[in-house]
Amino acid sequence: MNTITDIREVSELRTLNLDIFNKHGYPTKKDEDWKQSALNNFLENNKQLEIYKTNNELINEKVFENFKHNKIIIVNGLIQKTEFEGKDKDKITITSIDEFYKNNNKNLSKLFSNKKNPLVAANNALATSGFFLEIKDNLDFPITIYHQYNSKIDQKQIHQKNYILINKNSKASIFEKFTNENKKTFISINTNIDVQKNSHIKNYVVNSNNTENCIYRFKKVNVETSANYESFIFSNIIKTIRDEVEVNLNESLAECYLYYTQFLKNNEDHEIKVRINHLAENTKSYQFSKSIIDGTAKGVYQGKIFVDQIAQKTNGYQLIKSVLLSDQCIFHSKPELEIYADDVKCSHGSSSTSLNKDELFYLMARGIPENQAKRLIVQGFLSEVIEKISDDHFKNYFLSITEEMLK
Amino acid sequence: MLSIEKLNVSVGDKKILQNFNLKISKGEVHAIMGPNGSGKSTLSYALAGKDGYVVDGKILFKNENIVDLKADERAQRGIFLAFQYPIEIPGVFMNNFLKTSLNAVRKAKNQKEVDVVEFLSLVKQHAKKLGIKEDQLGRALNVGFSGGEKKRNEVLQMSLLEPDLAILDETDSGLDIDALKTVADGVNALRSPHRSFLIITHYQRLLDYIKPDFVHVMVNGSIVKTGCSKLAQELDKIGYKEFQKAI
Repeated sequence: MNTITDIREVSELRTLNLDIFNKHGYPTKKDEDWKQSALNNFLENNKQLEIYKTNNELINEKVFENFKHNKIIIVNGLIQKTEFEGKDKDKITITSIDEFYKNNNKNLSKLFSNKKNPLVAANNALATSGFFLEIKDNLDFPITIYHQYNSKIDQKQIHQKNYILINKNSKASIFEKFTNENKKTFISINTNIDVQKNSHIKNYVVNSNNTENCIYRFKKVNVETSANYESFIFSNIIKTIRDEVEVNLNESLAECYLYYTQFLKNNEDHEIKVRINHLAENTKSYQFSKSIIDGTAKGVYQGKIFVDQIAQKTNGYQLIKSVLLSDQCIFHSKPELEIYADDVKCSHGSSSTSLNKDELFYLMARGIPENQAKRLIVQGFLSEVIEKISDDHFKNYFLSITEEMLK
Repeated sequence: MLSIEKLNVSVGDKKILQNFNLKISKGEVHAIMGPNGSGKSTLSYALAGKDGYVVDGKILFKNENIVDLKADERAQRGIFLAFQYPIEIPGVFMNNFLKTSLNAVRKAKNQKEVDVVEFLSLVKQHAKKLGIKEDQLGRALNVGFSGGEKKRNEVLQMSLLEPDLAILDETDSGLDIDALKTVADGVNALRSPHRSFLIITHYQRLLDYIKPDFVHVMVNGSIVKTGCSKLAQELDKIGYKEFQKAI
């Protein structure tokens, strides 16, 4: 296995980030961005988790999707297997992140930025695994990245650092599926995504069947001119997850679309944090999130739209809706606009309500039993977001797993 | 079919229906007319089983007191309420909703549930009769429907579910003349010796198209006069003031 310590620039960046992390320590409730974060409790109680160093790992073959796709299997952070379809073979490059550092040993600092965020600094300092994925042209089939974690990382922490590069004029759908057979692990995944000129990337993620672990996923996305980044994250049956994304719309006509649905029950926690930086003229961002919260679960959405003074004609939109099904559940919504340009269109809306009784009565007055009527309303509520997904295959996939989830 | 006896309905401290009595036999069409605030819509909600009302008295439907039954159980037994303001439910698609509703009612009646192919053929037949376009069946329930489309959609649901008692709560409101006639034709097509109707309306014009057997005047939560269809024409001329004065 290659190590990264022999690359001087990486070694220096890691040391720098370790210093930053040591100076700040884990985030606490005193940090504005982490006030409502459930990660704080987990990290406070699990400070001494050993850092896992990846090795050769076993693949779980049972979890593969049955539609035609390009497979990338990552076990405990390490690439274990790839299988690409037809001509897509020539359009995809995948290596370990170490290999990438070796081959591109200059200007790596952009992959180690976000120094103000202590957990990203920790990841920058401690990551020992991860991948580099390059897409060079339009793909015929979607890529599914299977992130598999097994019991070898029980009660450990794992830091994974990835870099995805979408070359100009390319289109791809990347679906990330997580399978967790581990327990009491802290998983930190830090992914940089560069979307070059006139490219379109659709990034779909399922957070599911993972009630034992704490995950922090940070993505930093740079979007060039006439390119767009679309993401959808589906969350259900989890323990503690923070999904954070920072999107830089660096050039004119860059766009991003961020969609989220979540159905949280029991004592599940899911926190979404978004920062969109409009840094050029004529850029567009769109956020749409819907949450159903039940039991003693907690959902958080912090979404900021930042508009630089040169980013005239910006179009920014954010809509956050949640339905609370119990008296004990919580949803925190914190929409923020920070605008320095004077010719922009930015709007945000946020609502948290209980289940609409008039809707329930209408369905029941048509003979539909109460539980089934509630399911229909919840399914309809979440489907409104899923209907926005532009890849028809994944739209149907998520509609179907939403229906399955509510059975 | 329906026998309402000494029905009192209140919301919080406010009494809305007081000592309300009404009998509807099989195949009869009854109209209830009355001024705003007389309790007509409350009557329709209380019959359909909406939560939030304190109900005292008896509602005998096919000889069973349904006062303690939930809305879905009443619908499954054959009561249908055509809403004055049909609810918009984003993300719930017409076809899925109609099929779920139809199969819930069929299941309760021990009838075979319909599969997708049977359902689509059935719903298209009914929709065509009511002038409902097929693309409307693929849209979210009542979302973005015009007033006429919403009311036609109510009649479509009624014709699919084939209830024993249909309550039409101001179905004529918000309809233009052509839509009113289409809706009335749809209702008339459902008239049968086995099906009863309770039509709630402010105006006589709907009753020009759907001829009632009895017309009741409702004021302050009670029926104050009952007559034949001519009573509706009289009301159109004299209004409700005389009845309100009498109380």
